[in-house]
Amino acid sequence: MGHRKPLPTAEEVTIPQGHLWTKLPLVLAVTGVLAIAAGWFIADDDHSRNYAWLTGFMYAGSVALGCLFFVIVQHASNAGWSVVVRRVAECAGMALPVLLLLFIPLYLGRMDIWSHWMDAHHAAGDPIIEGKAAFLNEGFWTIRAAVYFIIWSGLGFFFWKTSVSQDSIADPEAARSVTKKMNTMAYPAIVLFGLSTTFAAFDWMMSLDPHWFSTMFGVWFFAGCCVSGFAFLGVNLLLMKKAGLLPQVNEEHLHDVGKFVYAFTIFWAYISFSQFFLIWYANIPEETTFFHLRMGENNPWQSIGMLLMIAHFGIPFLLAMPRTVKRNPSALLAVCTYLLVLHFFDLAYTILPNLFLGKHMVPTSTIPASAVCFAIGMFAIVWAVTAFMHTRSALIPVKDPRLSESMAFTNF
Amino acid sequence: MTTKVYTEADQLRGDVHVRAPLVLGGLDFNGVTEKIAAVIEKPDKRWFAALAFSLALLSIYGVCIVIVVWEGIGVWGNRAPVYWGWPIVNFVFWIGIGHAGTLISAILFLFRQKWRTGINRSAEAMTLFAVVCALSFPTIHVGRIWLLYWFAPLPNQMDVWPNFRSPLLWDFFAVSVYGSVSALFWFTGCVPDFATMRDRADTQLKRIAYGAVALGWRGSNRHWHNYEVAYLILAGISTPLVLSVHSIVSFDFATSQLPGWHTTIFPPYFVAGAIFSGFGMVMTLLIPSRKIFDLEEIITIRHMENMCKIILLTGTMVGYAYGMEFFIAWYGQNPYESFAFVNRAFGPYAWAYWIMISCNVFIPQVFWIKKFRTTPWIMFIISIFVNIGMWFERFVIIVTSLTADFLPSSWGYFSPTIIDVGCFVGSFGLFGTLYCLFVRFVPQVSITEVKVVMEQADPHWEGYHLAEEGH
Repeated sequence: MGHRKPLPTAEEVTIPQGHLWTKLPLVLAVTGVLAIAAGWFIADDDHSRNYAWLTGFMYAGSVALGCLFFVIVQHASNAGWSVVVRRVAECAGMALPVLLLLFIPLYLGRMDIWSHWMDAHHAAGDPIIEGKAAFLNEGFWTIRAAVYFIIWSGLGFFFWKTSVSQDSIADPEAARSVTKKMNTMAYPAIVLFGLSTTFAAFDWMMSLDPHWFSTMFGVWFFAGCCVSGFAFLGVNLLLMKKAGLLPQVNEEHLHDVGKFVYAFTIFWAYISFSQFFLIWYANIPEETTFFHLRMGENNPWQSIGMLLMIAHFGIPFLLAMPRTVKRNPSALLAVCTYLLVLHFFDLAYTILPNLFLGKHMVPTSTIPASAVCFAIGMFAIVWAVTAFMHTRSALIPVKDPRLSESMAFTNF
Repeated sequence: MTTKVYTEADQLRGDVHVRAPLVLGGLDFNGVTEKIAAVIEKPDKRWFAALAFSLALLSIYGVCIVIVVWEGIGVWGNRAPVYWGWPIVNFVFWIGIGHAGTLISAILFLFRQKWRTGINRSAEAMTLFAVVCALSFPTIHVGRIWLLYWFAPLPNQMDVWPNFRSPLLWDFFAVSVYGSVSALFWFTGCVPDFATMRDRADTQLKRIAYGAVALGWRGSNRHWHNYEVAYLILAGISTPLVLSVHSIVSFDFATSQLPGWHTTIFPPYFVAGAIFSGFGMVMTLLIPSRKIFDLEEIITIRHMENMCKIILLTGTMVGYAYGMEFFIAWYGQNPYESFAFVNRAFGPYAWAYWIMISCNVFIPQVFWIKKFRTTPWIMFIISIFVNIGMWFERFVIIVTSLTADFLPSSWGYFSPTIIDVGCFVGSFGLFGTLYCLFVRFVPQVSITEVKVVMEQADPHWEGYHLAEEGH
């Protein structure tokens, strides 16, 4: 049916030797290492350095996880439109194994970061923390962390490897069976992804204040992963297009990526607001501790909370609503970059105030400064891996049976 | 021009390189119109039986409402501390069911899910009727039904206003806005089909009636353009409403301080549950409907399979929420919260809890297997389980938390009265009657939209080339 555009070959959509993008991984990796080093030296002491590192780690991790979820959901829904943009996201999934390296300092600093419950000395005599020791204990926590990395690295590797292996299959029937395989794997992947990100959010962020709890917390982290991961995908696509790569990705695809980013920005706001609103309205002391730490006059986090409401929801909600914004490469690039920046504030708002939990620490500007450096650095590392993987294969899964559908699709 | 005859086998082969056909049996445009219009033009005898049965149930509801209004709401089983018994359970149950229609019409439209066109009309109608059933419960629950208008913030010389901080008032606004927008959206979609029915009318009365609701539709280019724009805008407006209504219903519970009610995951969990129950009801209605009205070539097995997948997904999401609630009840180490959950699962209402878990989480897992997703009678049975499970979910949330509240001396076992049962069963009569009338007078599948997803709608369809070449 219809007039078909000629399908690209793998050679046509491979980044040529010496292209600007092939230099990107090295540039990003150097930037990443320098930014991480800067963050390391800016920090005043080990305690604040650890928290700043955790912020940066969760930031970079959520970006890669968001891209992995994008790939999973495209396979699970048999999406046709997204074939030309999927490889770019698949490559970001390959950054997940590298995150394990960035986790090492957290593992070494675990007794400091999660001292409230991990350190028996701290926890002794606190009936609430002792009551949840069956879940919050060092051994089980370590096992769970290992399980998350196995799941994420496994899924990231599977979806990238399987998709790349399809590129060299000449027989259409064999290529279809590869797509089918990824489709089948996507359904259990959703379950694994949902549970692992939820409990990772509990283990690494919610348990920073071991008295506090929220059933919504896992969903909140998931929403943040999606916003930042999809925005990261958008940034990559738009920069590649500006660099003359991926001519197959047209404004229709950008429009759809933009819609995803936009929808999950609203979803994030819905989840964050619901969590805040229900805790505020019921006003139960066990739960309000979270916002007590972050609200009130003279509390610097108060303004970050207001910023999140206005800048992470209000502004993008109005700004990215018109379709012209999502179809205009420069405008969409601005929106995606903007949301990636705001996502940092969301995580910092959740993680960093715990530094002052039960301690009389004086807030200094070096704490957010080192968190920003770590976030930039680890984000650059994730991006470096992503960009490196872009150079390792074709940029489009050229043997995907739905490629022609993807290239011909139009929005209504 | 040749029309290829597709069969269920073409849909179920699981091809990844071609999209499954959505209209089977070689129907062309005219065939689709004839098939859908025939439901209205040649009524089936079984339809009269269904209407009579629904009316019988409706009369039970009528009698019960008269008793409730005459005697007061003490005729229900609501007793201290369970002031919210079955009527609120029924309200939330019906509101939940009223979610699939607009989800299918609006959100699946935005997701470009073409299969929605086979089922959106009847699902949306079902949404509207479920909202009517839902609203009937708070209406009679206020006791003094003649003072219902006090809900509305009407200026008065006493300067008495409804409590704007109460989620119950937000419900009043949320549900009425949702009902209005859903009705508008549904009606907009119906306009071209009403025009088709007007043009086919064989009596003056039908011509005038369908003509009035067709709003002078003549199918001009400008009409179509305006229609498409209006449809897209309404889809955009409806999408946040699908999420907001059940989020606000969840606030009725979650803003309180009652263990088992107050938990932050309630809004998305209720939305997922609502979609789950809504799809359950759509399947319960459509599986017999497509058979009785001979619409199996338009509401195909593929449509059914996709709905099964959504049921599996949302059922699993609901299971995630149950798990999170239980886990955090333990993790929070709040003795009242953990008691509420242990009491649910192992206390006097354990039977209700395990019905809920089985019907909503365990049983839908069979949809992992393709055979179960493509066998109508199995799907029908599971859809009934979904309906049962979701009613019990609301029962478990409302009753188990209220019966064992903060004052152990008032704990007791909640028992419904015969009027409770009559109201609940009777509300199915209201729903069934409205649905039967819909089936009789409105094309139950969107004639227009089904044609858009057929291959003949593609101007480059190979059939046209064959016609030009003289085949």
